[in-house]
Amino acid sequence: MGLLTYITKKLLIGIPVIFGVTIILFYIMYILPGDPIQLLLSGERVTPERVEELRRAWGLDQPVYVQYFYWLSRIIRGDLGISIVTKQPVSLLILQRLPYTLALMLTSILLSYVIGVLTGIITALKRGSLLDSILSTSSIICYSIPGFWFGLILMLIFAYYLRLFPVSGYEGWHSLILPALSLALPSSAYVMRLTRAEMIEVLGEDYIRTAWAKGLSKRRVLLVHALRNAIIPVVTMFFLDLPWLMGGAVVIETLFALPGMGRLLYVSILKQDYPVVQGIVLIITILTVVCNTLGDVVIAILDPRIRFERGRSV
Amino acid sequence: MPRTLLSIKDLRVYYETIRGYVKAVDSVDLEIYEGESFCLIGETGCGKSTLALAIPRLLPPNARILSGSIMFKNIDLLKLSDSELEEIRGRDIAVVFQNPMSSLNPVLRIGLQVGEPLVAHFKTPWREALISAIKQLSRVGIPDPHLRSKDYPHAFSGGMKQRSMIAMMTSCKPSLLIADEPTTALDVTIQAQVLRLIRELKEEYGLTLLLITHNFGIVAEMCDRVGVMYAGKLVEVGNVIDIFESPLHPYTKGLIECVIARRKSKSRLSQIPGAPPSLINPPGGCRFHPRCLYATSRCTSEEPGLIEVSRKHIVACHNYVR
Repeated sequence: MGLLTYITKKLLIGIPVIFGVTIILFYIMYILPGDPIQLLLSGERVTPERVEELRRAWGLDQPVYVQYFYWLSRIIRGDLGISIVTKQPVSLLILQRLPYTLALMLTSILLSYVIGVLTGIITALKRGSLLDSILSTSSIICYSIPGFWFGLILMLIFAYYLRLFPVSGYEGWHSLILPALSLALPSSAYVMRLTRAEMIEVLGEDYIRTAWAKGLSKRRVLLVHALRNAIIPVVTMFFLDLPWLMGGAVVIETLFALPGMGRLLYVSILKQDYPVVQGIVLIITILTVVCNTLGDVVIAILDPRIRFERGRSV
Repeated sequence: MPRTLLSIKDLRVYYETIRGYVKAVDSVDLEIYEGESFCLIGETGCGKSTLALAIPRLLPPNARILSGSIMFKNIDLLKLSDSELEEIRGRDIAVVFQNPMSSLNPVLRIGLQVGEPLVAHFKTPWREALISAIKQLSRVGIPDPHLRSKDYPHAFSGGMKQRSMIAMMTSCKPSLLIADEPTTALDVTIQAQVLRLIRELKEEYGLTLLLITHNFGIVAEMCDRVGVMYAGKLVEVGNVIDIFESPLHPYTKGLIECVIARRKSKSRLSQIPGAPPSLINPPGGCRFHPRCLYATSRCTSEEPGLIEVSRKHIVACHNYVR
């Protein structure tokens, strides 16, 4: 039916997008100041003939597009180059760090959406009550507090005074709780406000009145008829948020000294370790494209109007 | 003597707004008999929809029911708890709304929405409810009901959506069907079809119909009795023939003039002078007096009660003395 065609189309569109991204990424690296050979030699004195030889050996004498295809074919084979600083393969560096970052991102996004959606529904239903005022006000506060400051406070209270969690470094899954919380809280405040607004809007729709008129139970009206509609923009937000969390992870991982990809990115930028930066940026962009595509697909499943483009009509 | 199905006494429904209370329905008394078609007619904003939606208590959150009782089969609907109301809504009292485009849930399949009341009220298993939904859709004239019951509302035309609404609301064979301007949002040819469908189903299921409209053509075609509303008040109630042939209230006369005048090709379209009053501060005495050609000093100060002028023909006007 329409849904499968729609999903295939969305997946196929994702491919050229990723291609485009690699072209831009490669070109940025290409025009960056600094000669890779000089960087590689890192100040060693060698003859110009030796430099030429190296340039040929690395394919740097070829035109840009040829270099791009060399680079692309290496990327596809999983070879992201070698770190200038540690001389280790970039892919290995990233693979070592990726699990921590993924664990941190997933925990925090699940935390923020579970908290945000639940409080959003509650405040929408209890609109105007004391609970609503308290939660809405604290959500503004949570949303305004920067994650790193929040992280410091959490660290101070739960790690330093109460000694419930380690202050920094990775000592097992419980090391992830404070960082995940400091990433999740500001975002959960936003999710709550979105859910609340959507829910209030949907509850005023004609089809909700129809649902009441049919004599459905309160639970069915709210969960099946209202939430099913109100959740659609929240789910869209979820998939758009996922890659954005990476930015937060850079700060939070640095703060909590977690050995994740965010901290690797931070350190590599400071040390001008271009291959590593390039590798991580590539991973983030692919993640973004994948998340967006996934989001499109999930939304199409949730909202039948979206996949109705040129399908059957009356 | 027909049995009374619904009896509304001294009903007052006000809307709370920033500028004050809007007195949408003010002390209305109304009786609807079993098996009849009753029509409420009046201009936009006269409170007819508010009156109708107050019966199953489907009013918006800023509406306040200040007084009155709505007796339905000897139960006062205004005294019921939410869960008791749930049992009556959709099963004994069903509503077809004005705008079919926005009254169906956009993310649920038509068949599910049509079958849902059966599951809610009779604990019918979903499989059977969906089969009944298909039968019901075919009854209201949806082609290929098997296939179309799997569609979502956006794939339906306005007329089909309203037919599906009717299928959904009659699936439990309610005793009272409230149709709140069911054809206002549809084009003229579809209007006639939908009205015919409502009339057929009324006969088939033995429903009592409460139809809200501002169209005298629909009144003539559909109804046994008519109630005329003006500025939150019921001003005249009578048989459809009496209302058309010997209207009593000056407002009803004016309304009918507007329609009849159209048929005399050369004469200018007649109209009622002035505009309907604000319902926040309605005029004292008879609410129609500023626009009334027959107004006396009594009309400006004293509110007229309902008087039965002839058999079953009731009017609220000082010009008639019992």
